[in-house]
Amino acid sequence: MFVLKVKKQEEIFELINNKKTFVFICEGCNEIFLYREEITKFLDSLSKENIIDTKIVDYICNPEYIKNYFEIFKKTIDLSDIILIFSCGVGVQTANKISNLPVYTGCDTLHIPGYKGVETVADENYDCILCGNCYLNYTANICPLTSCPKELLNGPCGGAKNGKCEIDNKKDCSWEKIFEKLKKYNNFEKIKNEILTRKF
Amino acid sequence: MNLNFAKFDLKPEQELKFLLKKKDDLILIVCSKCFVNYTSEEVSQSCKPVFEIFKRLNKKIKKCIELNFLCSTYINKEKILEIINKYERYEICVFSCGLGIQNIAKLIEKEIVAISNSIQPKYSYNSETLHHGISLDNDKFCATCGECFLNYTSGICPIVECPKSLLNGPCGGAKNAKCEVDKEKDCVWIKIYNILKEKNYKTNSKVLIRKYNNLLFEENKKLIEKNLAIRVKDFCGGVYPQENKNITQNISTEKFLSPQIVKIFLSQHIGKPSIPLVKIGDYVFLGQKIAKSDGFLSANIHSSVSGKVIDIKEIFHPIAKKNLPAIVIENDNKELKDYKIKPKNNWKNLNKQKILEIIFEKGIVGLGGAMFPTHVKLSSNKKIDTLIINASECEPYINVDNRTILENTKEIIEGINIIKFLLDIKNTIFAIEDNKIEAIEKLRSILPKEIKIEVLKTKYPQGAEKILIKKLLNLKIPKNKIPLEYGILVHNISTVYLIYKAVVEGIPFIERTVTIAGDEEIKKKYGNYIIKIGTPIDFIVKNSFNENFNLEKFLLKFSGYIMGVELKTLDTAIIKGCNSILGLIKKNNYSLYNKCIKCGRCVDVCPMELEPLEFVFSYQENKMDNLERLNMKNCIECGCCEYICPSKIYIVEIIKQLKNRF
Repeated sequence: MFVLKVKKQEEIFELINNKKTFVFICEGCNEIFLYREEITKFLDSLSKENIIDTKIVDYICNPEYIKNYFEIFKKTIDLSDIILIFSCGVGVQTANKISNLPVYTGCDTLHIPGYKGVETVADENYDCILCGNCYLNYTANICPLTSCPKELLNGPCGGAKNGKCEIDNKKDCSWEKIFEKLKKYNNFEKIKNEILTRKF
Repeated sequence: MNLNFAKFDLKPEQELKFLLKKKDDLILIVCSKCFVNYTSEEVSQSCKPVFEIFKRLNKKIKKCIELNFLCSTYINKEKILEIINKYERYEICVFSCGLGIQNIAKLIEKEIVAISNSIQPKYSYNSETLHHGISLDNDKFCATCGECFLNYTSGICPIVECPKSLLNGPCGGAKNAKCEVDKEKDCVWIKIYNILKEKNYKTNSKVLIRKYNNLLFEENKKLIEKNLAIRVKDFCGGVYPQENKNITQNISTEKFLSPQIVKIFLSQHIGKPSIPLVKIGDYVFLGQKIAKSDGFLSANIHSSVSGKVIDIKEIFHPIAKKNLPAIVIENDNKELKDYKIKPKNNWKNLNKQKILEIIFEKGIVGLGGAMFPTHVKLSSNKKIDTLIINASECEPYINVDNRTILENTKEIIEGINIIKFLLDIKNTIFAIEDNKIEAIEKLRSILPKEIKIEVLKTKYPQGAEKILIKKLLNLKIPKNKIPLEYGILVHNISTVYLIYKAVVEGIPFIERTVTIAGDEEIKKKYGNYIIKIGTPIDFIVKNSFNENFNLEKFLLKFSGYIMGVELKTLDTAIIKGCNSILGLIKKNNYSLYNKCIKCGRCVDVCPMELEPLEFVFSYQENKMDNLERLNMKNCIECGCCEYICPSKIYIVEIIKQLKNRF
């Protein structure tokens, strides 16, 4: 899953640059993570002449739907110079493929750890980055790639103090956790035998 | 080996051999995958190579268990624990993406064997690319890098599409506009250059640099935490639709115009339809009983105008979705009241039996949506401990409860007292959502101390009975049981007001508050109106929406934005359970037979912890045998799944049809 951050106002002002703008706000999956207040605040701060129309739609990342929206709002889109989209990156890229006008985005897309498909416990220690070679068997089912800020595969960096990570004091050192769990299972054989290297 | 998995791939045989050394008896847990078209053979087909390899390695698989969405703790926790207890001495192999493996590892105190590698969706070169699961042939990705460059690169993302993730232009290795890493791929930077030229984009004045520093990490973390805090965690699922309550929030209730004719259905409630007491040609007074209750679960119906009965005929019923008999009365606009309407100034002189009789006689039904006859609820023999007054109006647009609280606070308190007197209830909880600030303030100043006010965070479908109880009292009511059996009574705030009106003022249920709202484009006059039961829909449409409105282009929603039904004809009328008429821009692409892509969003938002995608699958493939196992009867038809569905399938309609067939 992801969360959207509205870009800095000056940056969008510069893009619009007094051109006539058509605004799409996508309310599909980011439904769960609201950012609407910020957008309305920003749109209010623009002069009304600049904004031709604002439409709230959903799932513009689906090419069929966005084609449909372009047809429905054809009248007002034809009057505009640019299209401003508040959505994730996929939505903007899909709209760009269909539109004849320049498409700009007003958002940055951020990754939420632990969310993929269905909601899980949102936890930075608990995530999958789809790396393609799973190490969970050797590291007591704790992923060092997502839970260690340095993504170390061959053991702790040595910077941990009292079991806490040197990058974030509130975070436990994941390699210490792995060691403790392996001790519990009494299973050091695998990690001794296999040298973990990441294949890029 | 490349299986057709969306997110994971089987590990090579050699590695598996090493992993499963000395482990012979195995249990295999398979995730039935997300982001693939849902077909029947899918799982068994893709498991075949696993079985083949295990056979070659001489491993015995005791049992292979398939579960949907292993990454979800909500729906799979109990199932996983059950399996693990049952097969304690076996080794557990998990075939899923990294999230599913970690999820199971977290639940149990035992080492598990992952037999899969999680892979990225096709065509992407970045480790954190998102496949948003919209349409599977979509080749657009987002790396969720947190600093979008699309504005300067003509809407093509170089981070995802360029194998080198270059931000400052082509690397120079492209030959004939083909990438040097992958010869079948076009060079992204050449594409970007062409589009920049063609579409007249704003050319970049800044140097694009990707920030990998910690500062961004901290900032992101804060933002994510802030967003997660918005999400109320107390019950599973739920959605946060755009509320749009401000359209009618500050408009005080007024009487709607009196229609020329009214069409009063004989089925205004759950249960048996009423029996008509009038004939064609009879003159009826305002508030006269025109149909009587037929049996235990039924209610009386009264005329909402004075005039002549001109017809008793079948008209399209909006909720039942078929033609049902209705009494048609011509309004003479004299408003001559029936002799039975007499105010009783002091209800405290009446005994319990008498009050119940009045409530039954005046035809009061619950306004929470189910239209359950109120006297049935109030005459229960069970001991009731807690009364919950439900004012959490979580549907968008609607302001009926909100306005009722603001305008009739004293009457509501009196109504609560009547219910408390009837059933000797001590505890009363007033549940209200935090978006009704004015109403909360007013209640705090007026409500007596023994009534507790619970301010809830806004989330749909909070107003549903069972969910409200779970939230307020932390009590889970099983399927096929009603809250009354647990000593809990839930009443909608508008019903309480009606009880007051019936008992004290002697007015039967002949009119109710309805919010009329919708899109700005078709606005004529929106607001909260007291509308007579039986007012024809075409009369309301004529007076509330302007000439742009037509059923082809716009959607007319009857009784709610999410839960409401779409009206396809104007030849119908207001019934007792209708709280709103909404005119909206039509939703596109919806169908009963759209393909499910198994994104799992419906599972994510379902407040009853069901798997709506399984119902869709059963319906489309006509396989009814596993519906019992999936607890379909638990479904409250809240519409969250349909609201969030990216494939735009009419899930609620499917569930309703399946329930009928069952």
